[in-house]
Amino acid sequence: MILASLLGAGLALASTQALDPEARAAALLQDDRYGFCHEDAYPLTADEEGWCSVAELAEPRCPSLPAACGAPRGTEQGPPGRLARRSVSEEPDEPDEPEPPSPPPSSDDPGDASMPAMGGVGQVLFWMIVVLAVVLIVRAIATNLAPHRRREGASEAPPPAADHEPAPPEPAATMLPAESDVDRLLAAARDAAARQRWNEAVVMLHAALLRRLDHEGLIHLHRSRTSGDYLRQLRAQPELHAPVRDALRDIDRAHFGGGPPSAAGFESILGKVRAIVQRVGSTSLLLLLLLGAGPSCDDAGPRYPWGDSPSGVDATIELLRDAGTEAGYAREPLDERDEPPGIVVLLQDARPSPSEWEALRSMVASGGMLVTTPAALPPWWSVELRAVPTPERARGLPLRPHLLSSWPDPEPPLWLPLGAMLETGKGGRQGELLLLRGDHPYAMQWEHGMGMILVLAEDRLLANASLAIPGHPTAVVALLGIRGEEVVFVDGSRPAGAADPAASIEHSHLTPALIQLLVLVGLLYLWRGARFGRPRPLPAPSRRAFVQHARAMAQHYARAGARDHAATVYCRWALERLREQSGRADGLSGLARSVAHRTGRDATAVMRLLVEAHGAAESGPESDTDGLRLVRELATLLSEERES
Amino acid sequence: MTPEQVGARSDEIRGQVGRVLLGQEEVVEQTLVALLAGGHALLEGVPGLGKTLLVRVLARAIGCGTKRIQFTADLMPSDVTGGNVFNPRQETFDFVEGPVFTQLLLADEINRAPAKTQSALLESMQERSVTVDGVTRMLPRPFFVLATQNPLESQGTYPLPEAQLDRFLLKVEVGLPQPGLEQQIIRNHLAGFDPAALETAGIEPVVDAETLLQMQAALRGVNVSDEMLGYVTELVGRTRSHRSVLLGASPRGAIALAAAARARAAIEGRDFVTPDDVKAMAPCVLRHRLILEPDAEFEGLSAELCIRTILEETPVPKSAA
Repeated sequence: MILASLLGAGLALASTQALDPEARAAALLQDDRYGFCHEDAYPLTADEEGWCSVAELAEPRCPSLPAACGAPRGTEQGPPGRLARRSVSEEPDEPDEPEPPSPPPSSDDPGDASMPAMGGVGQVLFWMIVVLAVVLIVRAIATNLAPHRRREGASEAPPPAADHEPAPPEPAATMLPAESDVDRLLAAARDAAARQRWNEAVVMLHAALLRRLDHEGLIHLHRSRTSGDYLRQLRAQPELHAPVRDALRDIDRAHFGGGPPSAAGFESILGKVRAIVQRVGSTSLLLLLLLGAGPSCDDAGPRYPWGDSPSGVDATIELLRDAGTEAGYAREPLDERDEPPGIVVLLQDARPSPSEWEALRSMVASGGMLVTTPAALPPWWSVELRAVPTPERARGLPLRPHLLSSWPDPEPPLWLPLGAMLETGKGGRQGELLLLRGDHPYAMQWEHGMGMILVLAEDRLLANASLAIPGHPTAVVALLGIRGEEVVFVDGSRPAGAADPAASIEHSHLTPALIQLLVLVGLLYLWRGARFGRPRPLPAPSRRAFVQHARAMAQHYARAGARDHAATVYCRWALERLREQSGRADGLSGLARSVAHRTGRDATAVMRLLVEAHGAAESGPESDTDGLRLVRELATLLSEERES
Repeated sequence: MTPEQVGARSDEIRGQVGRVLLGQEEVVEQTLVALLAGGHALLEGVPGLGKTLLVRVLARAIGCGTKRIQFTADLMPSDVTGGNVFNPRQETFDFVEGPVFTQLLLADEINRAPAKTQSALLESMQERSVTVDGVTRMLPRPFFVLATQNPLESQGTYPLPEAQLDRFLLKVEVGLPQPGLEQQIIRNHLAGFDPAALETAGIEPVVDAETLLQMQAALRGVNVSDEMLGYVTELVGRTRSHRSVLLGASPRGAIALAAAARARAAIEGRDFVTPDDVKAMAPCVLRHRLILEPDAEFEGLSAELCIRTILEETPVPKSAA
């Protein structure tokens, strides 16, 4: 009775509010996201086909829905329900009996992201690699940090001296901070300045300035780059170029100007650096705000891929938000929430875990409200209910209020496609009837502890497509928004979100893959060093084969038109080589006889060749052709001589 | 004179030169660095880029005497230094000064003369004196040699030996001007600009030889910190261990780099040298002092590329990275 009264009052209130839910729902559905209202070829699934029976009623708000009813049906892939991926089927689906719904996947179902199982040896090897990589990475990090620690230890300031005592001599601040956080660098600079360690303070300021610019993508830090290099990178930012140039000039003066920076010099640099850092920071903050404005204004929390489909509830959530009710999807398991919501809506394919059911029990017992369907009845609840198909074969039957005495006048009919009705079993009669479909119960409520359990025959009343039918938005707001408490929708699977990144990785079963990726990164680090991820030119091969040098040299000769010269030099060298091999230092005739004897050639032919070579060595070949022929014949002769 | 004043005067000189030599600001700056550092510069570029015009305009702007030698294959050393000529009236040998006796000497196409003639400049460039027949005569101060050479032509040229190349503080590469500036150059010439009559272009001396000497002396007030000396020696040291370099820069190269960086700092009006100065001057100071491995030359590497690699690999002092 309490809920009935509330519903009645809610309907009256909702219908009289300045922000009319009907007008707001119509505006929401004009968004292109809700393609079923704007795309004539929108692929409705078999389950959503029922909306076609009331498409005429929805046409003013969803002008394309009647046309979509005549378009080819979409096919569902993957898990059923709202998470199904849909595509347009080549052929229209036969309007046969719908298949019984398959059980929805549990939240632990790895789905497509499962990793192949590894055998025992594989697991041992995997863990050995992981442990080894972790040890190596830790060792590398420790090695890298060790100099910094020593440096930090060495640069630790002595206790503050008395005001009248001169500051201790400051060691040259040649090492640079490993810190990359700009705020901490600025704090470190002020800290160093307080200890009158001006060099160190300026180094920190320099690092803070460059780090901020680097973080914003305005420059790219590199150890070989100078102030001038960074300023050239800032040419595209004229508003930053001048102040950064001034600051860098002062910093360079402090670093290389010969004398230690003074307190006034430090303050001057600090002021300039702080102004730039804040300016750049505020710019990026503004950019972030601008970028984040869209999501924040439209922050319906994580969404399902098909939350904007006819059977989704994105529009319902937005409608409730517009009505002043905090509403959204369950981002995390219900038993892990810090505070239980006021209303939990278990959509038709929701399958809470045992621990979540316990959490729901506590919520209802302490005054919360559970809205569910017979597909997801609490295991700790003794009432028996079933959803059975409505027997009528008409277009649909209007929902009528049963106990809602203050239903707005004129009474708005709620038209839903033919679907389910409630059939009560044990304890069912004790419930209060809220809505009737024809003469059959559609919505009933039970008090449980201090709270309530509201059972709908189906969840179509809450779907996006339902809001296209006049009267439904008002009823939905009255049903869920009247208590002014947070409304959480729970579907068959968690939306793309988790309480923390680790949980997200765990849910997606990506931990092994990420560990292997980390191992790979560690190995790359060891192999290529810290810069392995940065593109850099490939090192040129240090040496070439000798034959390549010879070929390059020959090409040089060819380009210079020095064929004759090359032939002359070769002939000269070949004659000397033959004399060395034969051990004959006398004239050509003796050399020819010796070579002919060793190679088995005719002495006259050898003599002729040697005479030609001698002539070419003295005055060059007669022609290019002669030169090339001589070189080839001498090369063959040398080869035969060597082999003999 | 303070470095700030040096910077101001340098700006005036650059302003005068920039009135007729468009789009060569970097070349002008490097040439000015050579002048202030008391070194000599070798300008390399294809014909028609304004190398000679640069020298003439510069000489006019700094108010120094200038002479030009067009190097040819038959140029004799005495054509450069001068020589003793018999005076029949007095029956004595009188020394007739060659063109080297000037303050700003333009040695045009220096690689067209044989090595013997080129080497006649060696003593002049290094010692700033000329010795003929055992008598040494000092050259006027300041004394600069700005030599030009064409990198393309190889027929009938005599590449400068390494010993002489090392005498040049900088090797300045003169490139083509930007297309937009080239249009302006054409427009100026069509409007009546005559490179042979610079006085008509309104180029006036903004300093004189004495001021130039003061500017050179002011460079001693520019601080070169220990970190910068370390950076210079690190860069030069890396040229000696580079895999593609057969012979790296000598200690004279390191001195030249530090001197050039100091002069650049003064031109910028600073009394301290920054890594920017060293990085900016390293290519023109070192490029003619490196001898590449033969295989590196075959692979198409150049000294310029090696220096660029070294600069990208050498951390600058206090880089904050």
